[in-house]
Parts: sequence; C-alpha cells; structure tokens
Amino acid sequence: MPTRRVVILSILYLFLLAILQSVLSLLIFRPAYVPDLLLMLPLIAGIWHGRRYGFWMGLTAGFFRDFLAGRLLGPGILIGMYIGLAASLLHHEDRRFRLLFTAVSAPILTVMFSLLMTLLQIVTPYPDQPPIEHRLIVLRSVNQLPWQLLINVGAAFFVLLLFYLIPLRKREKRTNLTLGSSGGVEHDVFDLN
Amino acid sequence: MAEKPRIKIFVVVVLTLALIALIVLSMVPDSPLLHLTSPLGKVFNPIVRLGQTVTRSVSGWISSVSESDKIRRDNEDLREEIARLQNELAAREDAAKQFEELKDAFGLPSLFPDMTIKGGYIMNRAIGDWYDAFRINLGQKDGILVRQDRSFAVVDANSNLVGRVLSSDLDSAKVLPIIHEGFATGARMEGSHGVALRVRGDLTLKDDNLIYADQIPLDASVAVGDRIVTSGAGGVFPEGLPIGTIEEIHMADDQRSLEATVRPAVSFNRLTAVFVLIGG
Repeated sequence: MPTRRVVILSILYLFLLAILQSVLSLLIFRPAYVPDLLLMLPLIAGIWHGRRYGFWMGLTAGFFRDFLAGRLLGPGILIGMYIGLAASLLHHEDRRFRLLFTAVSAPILTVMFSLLMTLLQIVTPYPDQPPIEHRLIVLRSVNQLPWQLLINVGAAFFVLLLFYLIPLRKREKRTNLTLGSSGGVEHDVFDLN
Repeated sequence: MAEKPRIKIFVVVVLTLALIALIVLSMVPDSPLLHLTSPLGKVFNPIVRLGQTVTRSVSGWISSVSESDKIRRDNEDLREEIARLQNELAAREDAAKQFEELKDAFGLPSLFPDMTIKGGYIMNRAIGDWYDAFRINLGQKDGILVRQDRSFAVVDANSNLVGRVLSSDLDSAKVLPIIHEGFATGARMEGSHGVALRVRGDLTLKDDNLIYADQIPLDASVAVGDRIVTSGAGGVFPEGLPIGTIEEIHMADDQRSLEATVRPAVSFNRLTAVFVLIGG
C-alpha cells in the first residue's frame, strides 16, 4: 500500500504539471512549442520509481490529458499506462543510470508519441472533417519534431527537478560518509518487490 | 513463481481491453462516460483560473520591475514612483479590457434575441496535434448538451466566430476552433449579393492563424478585403456571424472555382473570454 505522503505528493505532481501545461498552452499559441509535461510524467515516474508507480502515474496523467483536450476519453489513459510500464523496464538501482536513461528515453518517447499522434490524426478524423492529404499530416509532424524534441527533453528534466525538490520518500540523513555517490539501493515507492 | 508475471500480464491485457471499450463508448454522442471528467473539472477549473490570474500578475510585475531597472539608473525616487504607477496602470488596463469585453458582450443579446448567451473562459488550448481542442469552463450545467445533430456556436465578445462545441461534461466543454483542419461550415460574402462558399480550417495555414475559403463560383464578385460571414445553413451557426476577411484569392486546382485565404476576425492569440450561443 502506498503511504499517505506518496498519494498526496502524486496528486500534487499531477495537478501542478497539468495546471502548468494548461497555463502554458494559453501563453504559447503553437501546441508543438508547449512542453508536454504530462507525457514526461509517467516516463520519469517509471524510470525513477519503478513499475507500479509508473503504471499509476501513466493512467492518471493520461486521464488528465484526455480531460484537458482529448478528442475521446481513453486513448490518453491507455498510452500513459504503457509509457509508465515501458519506462519501468529502465528502472535501475544506480541513480546515474536512471539519469542517463531519462536523457535517452525522453527524445525517443517524443518521436514515438509524435508518430502515434500522426497515426491517430489520420485514422480518427473529426465528424464532417474535409479530407486531408495524409502526406501533409506527416510532413507537419516531421517539421515540428526538432522543436518538440528540444522542448520535451527540457520538460523531462523539469519533472525530474520537481521529483528532486519534492521527493516522494523523505530523505534520510546520511551518517555513513563512505557511501557511494549512487546513494545505495532504492526501492519502488509502492514497495512492489 | 511463474504465476505472478502471468497474472500481471493478464491484468494489463484486461485493463487494455477495458480502456478500448471506454474509448469506443466515449465515441457515442451524449455518452454518460463524459460525466467521468465532471468531478475533476469542479476541482481543476478554479485552480487553473487562479493559475492564469497569478501568471498574469507575475508577468505584469516582472515587466514593471524590468522597466524600473532602467529608470533606477536615472533617478531612484522616480523609479519607485513610476514602477508603482505602471503596476497600477497594468492592473487597471487589464480590468478595463475585461470590462470592455464584457460591455461589448452585453450587445450580443440584442443581436441574437432568440438565443441564450453564456459567457466563459478558455481554460486551456491545444496541447498537441491530436489533443487539439480548446477547453472552456461552461458545460452541461449551463445548457450545453451536445448531441449528434446538435452543436453550439462559440463567439468572442464582438460576436466573431471562434468555433463550435465538440463535447461537454457537467462543468466544461471542448471547442473545435475555426482554424482547426477538422472545422468546416457554410458561409457567404457579406452584403446583399452574398455569394455562397465554404470556410474550413487548413493544416498548412493554422500555424499562421489563417483559414481557407473554397467552392467560390468562378463568376463571383469577390475581392481582397471582402468580409465573410456565416450563412446559417446547417443549423449550428446563426446567420451573419463574422468569420474573417479575404487576404488572397486564387484559382482552385480543378479550374472550376475560386479559393481564398482568409484572416479570421477573431484573434486567437489574445482570446481569453468566449460566449456560447444556446438555443434559437
């Protein structure tokens, strides 16, 4: 069972990032330039806190995405769940590896998500939508990708900073100064294992 | 030991199927599933509004401080006074702008006497290419109940067309803006000769805040600068809502009609308050 602190902080992360993304969407006219914080949240949750936390954060962050601007209810939840689960495969005991995996997986996720969104745009047009050449949809996605990569890597590290500044588990005072910089073994916040 | 992974895979598969069922059910017009988001909206919307207000205040404060830095070099006393006055002015300008918007909005009922007009705010814009609807803080509790054969026009304070409502839950609704490629509606040129045409969003134009007009007859008398309004055909939009102004005219690929690039009358960059036209 998750502790009360984990539940409260998880809700705080979700609300904080969703509100920030909402406010940024009003300030930045082009959606491609808005940092996708709710996409990066399950990724960071999976890599840094393991399977079960990644899974739950994926479900809830996805639900928030659908709520904010989705065409349908459900795809965001499904996608978020899979991102959280897949990211947890990169969960490693060593903090340096997790940092490396974050840096590598954020752009990979952005590319894969962009591909998926392009596909969804093609297969789920709005009712009464005039026909659009698929080539144009793909071209637009490709043109936006460099900016999205840059912005989403920044978004991933912003989420990571949030996790660092407001940690899920209380930091323990280090008494043994001979410990390695990796900080030793860390467990899934939901104590899965 | 092999049982545990199997159970986990089973859980993921079952959840996936359940979510796919959810997606399919949410496609049904007026689906009760859309009520799922209502409790979230009740909590989330006021917080987002607060966030927007704080952001505006902070950006106003930052601009006044950056201005004051420049002044400090000249005169310390004047700097403080000017910064204070600028801050006050920014706050008043914002209030005055809102007042003007609302004051103009009061003119809407006289334009549409048969309709109920509900005013609201944009809570967020598109957050991606597929997550591309606006969300506003008006919903079913305000009488916005979208069905397959019934949608609602969304306008700004000057009654310029913003878009149409796609779906709604109790406290919020999603709006498809006119610049979106999924948007299309019948329109006509303003004036007595009113040439009929179609206006639609375009994928290649939406980043430049432009839309497209097509199906314009070859012999139609159209010129750059002409205004386009809704035709009233289709029943979603009342007749005469301003859509935009023609910026460029060219021949269609099939050489049998004209097409035009149109600058929408509504300014999406600055749009914060919207009005939904209900009934009629």
